[in-house]
Amino acid sequence: MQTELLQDTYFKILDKPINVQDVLDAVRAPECGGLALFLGTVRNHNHGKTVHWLEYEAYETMAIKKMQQIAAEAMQKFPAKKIAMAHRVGKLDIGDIAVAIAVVTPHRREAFEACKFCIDTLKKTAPIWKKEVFEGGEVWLDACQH
Amino acid sequence: MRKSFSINLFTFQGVGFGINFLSMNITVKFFAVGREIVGSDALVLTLPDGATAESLLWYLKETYPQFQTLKSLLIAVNEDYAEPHSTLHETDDVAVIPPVSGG
Repeated sequence: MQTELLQDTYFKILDKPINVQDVLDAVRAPECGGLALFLGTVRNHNHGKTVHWLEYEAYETMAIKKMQQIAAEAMQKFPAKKIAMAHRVGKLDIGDIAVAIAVVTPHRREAFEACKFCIDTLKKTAPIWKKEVFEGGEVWLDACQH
Repeated sequence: MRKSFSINLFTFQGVGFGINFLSMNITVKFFAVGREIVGSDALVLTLPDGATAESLLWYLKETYPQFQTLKSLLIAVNEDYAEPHSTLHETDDVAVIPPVSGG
């Protein structure tokens, strides 16, 4: 679906730690009583392997455009007033925040639903990749058929 | 790592009947596993006029068979996913998108 781009909100690809307060500040709205925040963090294991760290890479300009499109679509589907998204690139250690998404809506239920829509769609469509470095090797996640 | 080099895709189109096919130079960006497969983050490809996203994918999979092992491979034109039949133009911003794994 072709959606209008949102220019005036917080959509960022960052090569330094995500400041969660900045993401929250970007979505404050007096008419909204529900704010949902999703943080994706680096897990220490995957498919039974011990993960040392992750390396994220993005096609930055397209990833930001995708974030804007996803937010515009979320605002059509849900009564979301403001949406902010940040994704980190570079080397991330266990526990680091890789992605942050904040959504405000008048009431709480739609905030959770809109936030889930945003993270699910971002994971499926945004041109962002992670390489997992684990005990004994490294692999671009979900890249190959086998 | 090489930043960019040139490959002639024009020869794949064949030349016949003395017609001069027009060609264009398109810079194609690569990311993640795609960058590792081609060994560069950008290639300047000489494509026949009228080349499509699909024909570019076909060329890449023939030239670099490792692309055939990926779960998916898409072309982005001007920062949007392109339909297979979309025609490429010299001024387009073209990128190869291997399976994404953000989040």
